[in-house]
This record gives sequence, C-alpha cells and structure tokens, in this order.
Amino acid sequence: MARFKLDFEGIKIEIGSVESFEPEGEGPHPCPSLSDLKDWDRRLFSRYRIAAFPVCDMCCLCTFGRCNLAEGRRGACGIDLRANVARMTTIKTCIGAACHTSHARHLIEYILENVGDVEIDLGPEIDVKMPIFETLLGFEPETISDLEKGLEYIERELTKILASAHMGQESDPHDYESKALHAGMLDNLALELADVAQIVAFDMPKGESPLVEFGPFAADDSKPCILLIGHNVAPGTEVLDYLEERGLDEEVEVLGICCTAWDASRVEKRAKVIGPLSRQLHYVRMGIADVIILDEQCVRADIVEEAKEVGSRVITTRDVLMGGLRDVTDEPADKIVEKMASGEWMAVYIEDLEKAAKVAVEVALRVHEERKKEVPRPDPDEIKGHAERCLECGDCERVCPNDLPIVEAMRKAREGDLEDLAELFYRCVGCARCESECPARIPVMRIIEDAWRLNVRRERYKVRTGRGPIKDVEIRQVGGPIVMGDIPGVVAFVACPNYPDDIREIGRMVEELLERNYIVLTSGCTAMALGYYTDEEGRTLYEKYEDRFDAGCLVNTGSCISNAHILGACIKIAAIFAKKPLKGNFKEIADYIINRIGACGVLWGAMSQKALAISTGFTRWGIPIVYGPAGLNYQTLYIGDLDGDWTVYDARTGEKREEHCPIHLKYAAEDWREALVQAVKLCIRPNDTPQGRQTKLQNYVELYKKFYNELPPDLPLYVRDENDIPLTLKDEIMEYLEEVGWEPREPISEPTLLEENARG
Amino acid sequence: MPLPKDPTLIYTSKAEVARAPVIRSLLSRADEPLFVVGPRAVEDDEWRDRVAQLIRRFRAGAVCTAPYGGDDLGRKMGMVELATLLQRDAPVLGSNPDVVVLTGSRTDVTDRVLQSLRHARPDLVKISLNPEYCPSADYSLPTMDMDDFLRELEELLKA
Repeated sequence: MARFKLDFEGIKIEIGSVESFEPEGEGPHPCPSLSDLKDWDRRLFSRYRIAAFPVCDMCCLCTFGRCNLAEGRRGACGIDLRANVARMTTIKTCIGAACHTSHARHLIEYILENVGDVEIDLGPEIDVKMPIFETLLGFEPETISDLEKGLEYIERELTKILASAHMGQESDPHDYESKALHAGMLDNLALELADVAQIVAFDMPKGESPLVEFGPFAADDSKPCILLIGHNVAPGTEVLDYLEERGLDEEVEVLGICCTAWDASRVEKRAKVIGPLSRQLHYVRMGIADVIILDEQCVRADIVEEAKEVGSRVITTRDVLMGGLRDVTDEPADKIVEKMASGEWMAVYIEDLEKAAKVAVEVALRVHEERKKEVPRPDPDEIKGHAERCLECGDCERVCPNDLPIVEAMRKAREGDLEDLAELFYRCVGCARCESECPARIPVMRIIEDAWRLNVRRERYKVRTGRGPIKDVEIRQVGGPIVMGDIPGVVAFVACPNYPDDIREIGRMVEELLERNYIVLTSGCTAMALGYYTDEEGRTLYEKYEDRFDAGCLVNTGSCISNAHILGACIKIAAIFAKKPLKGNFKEIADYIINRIGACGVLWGAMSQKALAISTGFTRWGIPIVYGPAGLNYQTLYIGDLDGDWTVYDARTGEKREEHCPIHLKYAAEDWREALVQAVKLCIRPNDTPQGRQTKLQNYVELYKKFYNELPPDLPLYVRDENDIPLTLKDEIMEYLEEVGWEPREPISEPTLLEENARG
Repeated sequence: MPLPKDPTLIYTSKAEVARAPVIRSLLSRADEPLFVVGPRAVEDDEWRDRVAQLIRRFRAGAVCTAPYGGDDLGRKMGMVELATLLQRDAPVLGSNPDVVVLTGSRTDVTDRVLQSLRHARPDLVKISLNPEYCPSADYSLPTMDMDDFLRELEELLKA
C-alpha cells in the first residue's frame, strides 16, 4: 500500500505500511521470496547431496501419529522419512531464525523508544554498512526505523516457511531443505539488524576493540556481583547506566556468561566476560553472583533452582523467558528490593528494564556481605566422600555426550587423587546429565567443578572483545589477495561450546591456521573458548596475534549476532573489490562468494537451533561449514557428490568446465584434525590463480601428511595443471598424479554457476 | 542388559545383541565385508591391533575415518563421506559391501550413521563392534568394560 500523507502548514501526519508489506528496494530480487531463489538452491543440490542422519524414526507432529517412518514406511499423511528429516531441519532452522528476529525486534523497538531513531553511522571507515540488508532488501537503510522493513520482510517469509511444515504441505526433501536455506538466510539478516542497531545505539566498537579480562576469576568477588546470562544486551546496558548515574561503577562488578557477556563488554570495557554457555551451571554454582539477570536464549531451564541453592537472586526480563516467576513489573522498585533482599522473593520477572536494573544493583549491594558467608567452598574430603558412594555402574558415562571417563576418575578420587576429576572440567560440556542419571545421587558435575577449583590457580585471561564490522579499508587491502588465493582463506570459528573433547582444541586449530597466514574470525562462545588456550607465558592468542582483517590475524567480531559481520565481510569483498552491485542481487553475490572467496566456517561445538540457522544461511551464500561430530544431530548435511553436476561456466567465454570446489557445503568431522584439514580444503575455489592454488594446496597437503602420513587421495580434483603444484612438493605430487592417471586441465578465469551470466 | 548409549532416543527396532560367535559367522559368510575404523580404535593400541588382525582374518575392505599414520586400517576417508556413499550403495574401494562393521567411532556418530543406513540401506548388514551397545545396528555387542571388549575381539579372531 502507498503511504498516506497529509501535510498542512505546521502539521504533518504520515501513515505508512499499515496494511501489508511491500518490497520497495532495487535490483533483480529485492526481498526475495521462497520461490525467487529456488533455482539457486536446486543448483547447489545438483552438486551437494542432502545426506540424512535421522535422530528419530517417528513423526509425532499431528494426531494421525505417531507414525513409524522407519525403513521405507510412510506416515499417515504420506510423508516419508527423508522428507520428514528435512522438515525437522526446516523447523529447527526457523526456531533459530525466529530467536534472532525476536531479539532484533526487541532491540530495535527498545532503541527507538529509549534512544531514538538514530542514524546508522559506523564511522568514517565504513561506507558499506549493512551488506546483508542491502543485498536482500535492495536499499541502504539510513536510520534505525528503516530496519523495521527488514524485520517485516523476515517475519513475512518465516511465517510462510513455518506454514510449509504443516501436514499436507511440502513432500520433497529438496523443497524442505530449500526452505531451511531460506530461513537461514533470513536469520543472517536478523543478525545484522540486531548487531548494527546495538552498535549505533550503544556506541559499541566499530572495527577495533580492546583487550578485556576473561574467566571466572576475573571477577573481584569482594564486591557485589551482577551476572548477566543470555544474549540480549538491553538489560545489561540499563545496569551499566544505573551504576554510572549513581557513581557505583567501581563498587559493583558486572559479569557476563554467553553472548550477552561480549555485548556488555562492547558497551563498557569494565564488564567482564567470565565464560561460555558450557560453564553456565558451573559458574552459577560457584556462587559468584549476588544477582543474576537473565535475558534470552541458551539459558538453562534449571538456573533459577540452581541459583537459589547458592543464595543468588534471579531477575528474568524478557517475555520469551519468564521462568514461571512472579511478575512484579508493576510493583514499586523499593518493595521489590526489600522482598528480594530479605529472601522472601528469590526470583522475579520484571519486564521494565530500567526497574530491573535498579532492583538488581540495590539487591546486590544489600545481600553481598551476607551471601559471602553462605557460598560453599570446595572441600576435598567432601569430594572423596561423594566418590566413595560411587557404584561404578557407568550410567554417568553412558549418558555423557562426550564419553568422559568419569568412573575411573571417581576411583582415583576415592584414593584422594583429584587430578583426573579436575581435568574432566576442560572436556565437560556442562549438560549435567551425569547427575540426573546417577542412581546414588552423586552431584557428579559439581564435584568435577570443585576438583578443578581446588587444582586451578586463580587465573585471569585476556581476550579481545567484539569489534563488530570489518572496515572497508581492510577489505580494499585484502580483497585481491583473498580472491586470487594468495591469502589462503578466511576461516570463522563460531557458535556454541558443545565440544567433543577438550575446550582447548579450538585453540590448536586456530593457532595452526594463524601460523599459516589464514585470516581467522571468531565470535560467540567459541571466541571465549579461545581464551582458555594459552602459551607457556600464559598469553592467549588474542594477545599474540593482531586484531586486523588480514593474513595471520585474529578478529573477534563479538556475540553470535556479530556473525553478520563475517558474512558481511565476504559480501563486502564482492561489493568493494569486485564492484558488484548489492541491491537485491543475492544470486550474483552468492555466486561470487562460492566461486571466488575462500571462506569457511567451523562450528566445532554447534548445539543450538540458532547455530543451525546461522550456518545454514551461510551455506546458501556459498560459505561451506564444518561441524563437530554433534553436527550429525542436525540430521542433514550437504556432501559433495562426484556424480553430480559440477559445471562451472567461464563468464567471459561461456565455456563449461568441471571444478570440484568447494567439495562439501555442510560437513561434520569426528576429530579436530579432520576438521582442520577439511576447513583448509574447503577454502579452495575455482577462481584461485596458480600461485594462490599452490599456497592452498601446500597447506592442505602438509596438514594431511602431518595427520594421515600420506598424500590426500583427492589431489587430482584440485590440481588443474602443473603450475598449481607447490614447488617444494612437486616431485612427490607429480609422481602420485601420474600413478593415478591425472590429466591436466585449463584453469577457469571467471567462474560462475549462473548460466545466464556466461557471455560466450 | 544392553542399554542404548543415549536413553532419550526413540527406536522402533533395536539391534540384536550378538557375541563373537554370531559376528564371526556373519563376517565369514559375507562376500564384501567392510570395516570402518574410528578414532577410539586408532588411539588404543590393543583395540587397533585386534581390528587390523580382524581385517586380515576376514579379508575385509577397510576405511579408517580417523587421522592415523599407519596403513593397516585401510583407506582414509571422512565418516560422513563414507556414510553418503553407503547410503546410496555407491562403490567403496571399488566394491559394494554387503556387511559393514563400525568400530571405534564416537557412540553418537556410530548411532547416527547406522540409523541412517537402517533406513537407506535395509539390505546392508550393519554390525557395531564397540564396548557400548548400539541400538541402530542390526547386530551389536552388549555394553561391557574395556577388558571384556578386548577379550571379545580376541574371541572373534579365533578360527
């Protein structure tokens, strides 16, 4: 509907967008719908096979069921297992995208109400401010209120996708996966809306960031402590503002777990990041917090009960996570403070964030001294006592997602040796299923954490807080080397901490790539996991490597919504280096990325639906993803099919060639070394110059030989002619290629998957 | 009692608990058995050594899905790459296996891969040779401790 406008002298009334959403942008596909990009998705699926790994044989979504779909059966509605698995992937991706969209909507409405319709200005070094928005919406937003167009677009499309998951809608797995890709792409837009809005409204870093303290012992527990858990920084900003207004900045510690920690530290360097999601239960049980403020996403459902155990007060603040608590939003703040300080109300829901902040600070100040006396300290005799009750039934190991050797550690603890138990802390994902399962009711996870606390020094680490976007000047400097392949790749280590083994393995992977001149980006809980990896002098990788978007540098973009800037950097290379028009031009940009930008995402501990949505969106833009083994539980992967259609057109001549890269789009590795080798391989692109391909192959071959002690068997796919072979490995590789009957082929000069873009 | 690794999963059918004599018989009768050797087997000397002997003993094809410097556990390939080939009955190492034995992968990975094959390849005989019972296989050892498991592998090697 066109805007309705009455303009009298001195009075202006404007009503817009009251009836329905209408795309206003420019370009071939502004606000692309499901069907607009279906041909792109089909193109991807013609080379990447959808490999299904079902978790459950049943469908329980309607009262026809539950239906057994095992071994070729169909459900009462006619659906088969492959389609149903893809349907579940679509639903899960929608959940993730809805989370980020709801988060973005809350932030944008909160900002419009409390800060105003701020101009979107990311500083003098960033002209391409919202590359995802521009590519999808077809215009450049100027102020925060323009972002609402993006929200409207996402909400319209997400509703349609969810509708497709109803019984009697889609039946083909490819159509469902296409919808998952669409939901993922929408999720990526939501990330950008939320992060850019908060950067401009709360004056967060714009392309550079300071080092901040990290770890549970970064907190000064002699002071009252407020712990923020979740992802939405709005309540945190209110706390920081209240402290500043009252001159209490130095009196109260503000700590964070999960992404809200990064964002609070982006608002105010003084806010401390104490740990990733996997440490949530551990650190709440440590009793650090006098008051815990929960916002949204990835908060454990038992956190209120656990907090109560150690006397921490809890305030929930968002209507998506009310925690079953008493709604005291309309009660006077002084009354709430009184009741919470006395312990009559241990946990409440306060939707008014200003009031929640005031209550949190005042309660923390009141209860701190008393609580300090109550917080239990680890006791070796108590741990030994618990270990003596162990029946050695092994149920804890059976339910442990990481097969941790708990029984053996218990045996040793019984003898007074707590070292094994303490070491399990680094491999524990914090799920506490061991405790739920234990027939002897041993608090297994708690004693692992207590043993660690007794063994560990009170270490503090330095991490670099989120810097948000990549600057245009950085893109200008590295765009060419990335597209030519001289910089071997951009690898992003992102997402949750559901790691299959030691949390420090992330550090090993990242350091190897930094030493090999890759640009490494990180965000979210994985950026925190990097903080545990130190050298002999106790320095973290953030201290050792520069914070620039350049070869051999490490960049932390921030929280999980800051993943937008990782994808944004790839889009900006197309816009700034290759001068591709962004507006409404998704297919051409994705085609550019998949053929020319050697980027790859590693989600080693991906766990949440949001991580699925982010990564699925990335794949549609042409960025391959490597999950850890838990990625198989997302149920569908996109694995390269050598019998598929690997045709790449030369845009200049129209000639057709076959190029098998990137060979996979969604992969899951069992072991960190496999993940590392895959990440390096998935940075190979058809556009690589011979010199660039040499650099990439040198890394691939060296790492493969290091871990597998032989040449990679798929080398013939990546060596186009002799000029691609790294000089130091030439004899060895040539001998192998001759042995397997390799034939040289000409490199392609302007690769594209879009036949319509091939001139010829 | 054989307990699944993950009690939260719903299975419509469960693997038959099998001990060494049954598994030996299945492998002896197979035309193209394939061993899939994962990281846990590679990292445990005794486990790895017995698996290498089993591969020779049953003249089986083998794929090693873990980083490994040796060459006695078959061709190296990622588990999901292999699973994708098996799901569509594409040749692996030049042949189409009729029996597949998973040993040494993480329990969740073993479970996911075998469950996918249960649907995609009901014709393929799927065996889990691990110290934990795996319900998604057709035949699985019961849950047992490591010493018993190694003894079971020894038993399997007997003529």
